[in-house]
Amino acid sequence: MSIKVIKEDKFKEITINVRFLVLLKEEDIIAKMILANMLNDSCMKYVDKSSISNYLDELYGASYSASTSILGRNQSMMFKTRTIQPKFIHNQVNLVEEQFKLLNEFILHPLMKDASFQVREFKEAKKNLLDQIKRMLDDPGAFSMYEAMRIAAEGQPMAMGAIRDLKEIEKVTLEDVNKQYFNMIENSQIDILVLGNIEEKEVNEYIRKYLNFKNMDIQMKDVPCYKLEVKDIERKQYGYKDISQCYITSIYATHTRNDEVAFSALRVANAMLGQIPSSLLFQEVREKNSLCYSIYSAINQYDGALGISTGIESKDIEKALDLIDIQFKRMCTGDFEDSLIETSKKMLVNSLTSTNDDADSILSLSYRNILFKKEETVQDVIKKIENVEKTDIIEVMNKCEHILSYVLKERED
Amino acid sequence: MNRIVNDRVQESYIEETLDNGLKVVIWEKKNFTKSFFMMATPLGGMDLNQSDKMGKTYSFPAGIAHFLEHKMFEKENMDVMDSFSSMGANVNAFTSYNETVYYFSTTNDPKEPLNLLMDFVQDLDISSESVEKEKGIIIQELEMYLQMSDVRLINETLSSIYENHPLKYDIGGDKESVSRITKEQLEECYRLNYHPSKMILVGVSGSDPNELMDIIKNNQKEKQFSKVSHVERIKCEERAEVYKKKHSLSMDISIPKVCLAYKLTGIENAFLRNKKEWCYKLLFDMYFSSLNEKYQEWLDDEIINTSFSFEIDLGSDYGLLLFYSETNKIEDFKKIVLDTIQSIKEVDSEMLVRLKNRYFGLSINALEDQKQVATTYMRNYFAGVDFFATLEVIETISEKDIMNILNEIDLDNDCEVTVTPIKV
Repeated sequence: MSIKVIKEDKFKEITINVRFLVLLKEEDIIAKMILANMLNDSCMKYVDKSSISNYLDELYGASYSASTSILGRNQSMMFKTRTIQPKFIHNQVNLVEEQFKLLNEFILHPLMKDASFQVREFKEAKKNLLDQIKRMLDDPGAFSMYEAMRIAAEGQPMAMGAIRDLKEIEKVTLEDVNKQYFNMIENSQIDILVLGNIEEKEVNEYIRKYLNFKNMDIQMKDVPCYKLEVKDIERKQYGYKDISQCYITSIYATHTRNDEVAFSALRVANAMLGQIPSSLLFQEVREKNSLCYSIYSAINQYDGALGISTGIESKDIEKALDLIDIQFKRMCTGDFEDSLIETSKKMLVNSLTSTNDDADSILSLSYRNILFKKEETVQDVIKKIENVEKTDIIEVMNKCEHILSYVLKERED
Repeated sequence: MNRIVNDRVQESYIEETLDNGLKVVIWEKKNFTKSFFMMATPLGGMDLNQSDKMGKTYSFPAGIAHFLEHKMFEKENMDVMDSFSSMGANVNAFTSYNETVYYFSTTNDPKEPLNLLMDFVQDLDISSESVEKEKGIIIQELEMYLQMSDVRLINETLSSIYENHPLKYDIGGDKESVSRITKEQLEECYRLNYHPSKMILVGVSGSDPNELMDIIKNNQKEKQFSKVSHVERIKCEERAEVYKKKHSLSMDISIPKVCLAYKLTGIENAFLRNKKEWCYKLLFDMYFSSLNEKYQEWLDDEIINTSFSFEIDLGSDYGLLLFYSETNKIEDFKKIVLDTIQSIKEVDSEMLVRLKNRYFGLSINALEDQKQVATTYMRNYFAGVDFFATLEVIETISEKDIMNILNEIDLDNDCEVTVTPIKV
């Protein structure tokens, strides 16, 4: 188990993240999502939503949540609490100690009887997940992204979180969720991160008292990122919905892992292609051709993937696909101004520097360092970005391989 | 120049109204690297009919404020977004029903982008061709929102409640109104609504506030602004009753959505409005959230799901109370809302104390967010209320204040809007 305390007094609150990391297994993903839902709502001490809401209100609007996310080849369960600094209140409640007590209750004393969660809570959590997935799939933009990920990365981690088949959720049993809970407690890499105006000694004392896990030694052997494999599939595929605006999602394998030196060049290339307002996609597809309101590219850093998304009229599909392809090729051939490289670097540096003003971003960077077993500062990352040359950008873009362009169109009668 | 300090939440800012009328506020955020600046005018989606002090009236198509927001970024010899990017600054804008806002953030020296913010907002440079070209982009933006079922539910509710009030239109207008907007209308709307005396500039930064104020003053003193008669939104005649009691539409979704809305009377006094909004919020937190034990029953019976929420919005000439959720049990949903409001007989005093604690903590948290600080200050300024006074208003609310607002809801003046899945 690792403990990272970041003492910083400029924030008005204290944030604690407790992370449980295991290897990603497709058959466990949904049960873990249901488990996170259940661990959000109740524990032995706070048996219902009403009691936990009242308690959090007593702690001056403290927040608590449990959530799960897929990080490449790993799945993480995160418990997070946040309270304001005690100096803002006049009563005697020790808000920091209460945060650790709260985590103790929810993580180590869940609402179980005879080593099993209860049927009622299980059913509710399952329904919540079903509703959440349905809601996401009802949004055509999210649907298009999910479908593209599922098709482009079939059998690989990136596709596994893109749940489309609701029957898979129905199939999960209470026993599956129980198993996931004990697996999480017994077989995870555990990392605790604390940020705020607090001393390390005090944190260690609370952890010893409230988060004394039996398993302290498990460490992931490998870093979580991988290179997306390109399979032999149709490169252009269509889906249909009763919608009036079409969506295009293109997926590329970058063949560059985020622990490689070339990853910095990929970040700059992505900014130039479609992350910033000066980017080729924004300028050509939106500004010059007025085909869309929004178009962007993004790197999926753990999966070695790059995606492009936009919403357009159906009559413009082919024109937009051509324009996207042209901009991609321009990046590969170096057909862009040097000023775009400089602007993109500046924007990335601006974004990285602002990490220091946001509690969640600081904690994310720290956790990323734990995952990649290194001590990289924001300044280190900035230095790498600043050292990227035009040749590096062309080289990293030429390694990218188009896998799929998924087009979600209006249903035809 | 005044310096305002609040010891309780440990925040401070300086403020000054410049000779040209521009209100400037610089919020001090020591030890923060990032600077955030916002320039805003009280021209929003509701400002379709305005009048000046001479009684001259001006009418614009729906969506004009939003259209203007798009066009402000265009200059003949400069790409504004590109210029901000080359300075390492992120620029953006938004239009609400009440205001248009331009903002940037940067971790670099804010001087250059701050000057650019003032320069581009204080200069309109458009051609008829560029206005026509922008229509395609805006219509795609409106299409995007039309496909979002949650946004659609609220928009359709507003257009069902109001017959004449401009809230019945989407902030961006619609395809037809956007197509009608001309270069001349945009220029007139700009002339009337972007004079510095109508606007505010709010900065939240770790840089020296006095230096920032000097940058702003130097920029402004070099500019000339022709006098313009002060315009205000013309209040429209709107019936007290909802326009339509029921409305339904279908979309390609899997779970039906319902919104039950009550039309309320607007409140002219901004401070009182703010206080009453808090009263509604506190009351409905007690009765329509997990604090109410029945909430779990509603979930178990699948009358609501986790999407359930309520909203209260009071303006000087409008008021709305909305309850919405995804549900297959629309009649049951209506019943629990109605029965619960009718059953309210008292306010739990201990719960009220806890809720006040909650919102005190949340207001402390909100002060970490530079954009939220600037936005809240700007909205309070346009409404004519003090930032810190609004933070403290919740402390003054009594159980009696909360119970009194129940008398202001006419439960017969309701409107039900549903979005149902398309039957294949």
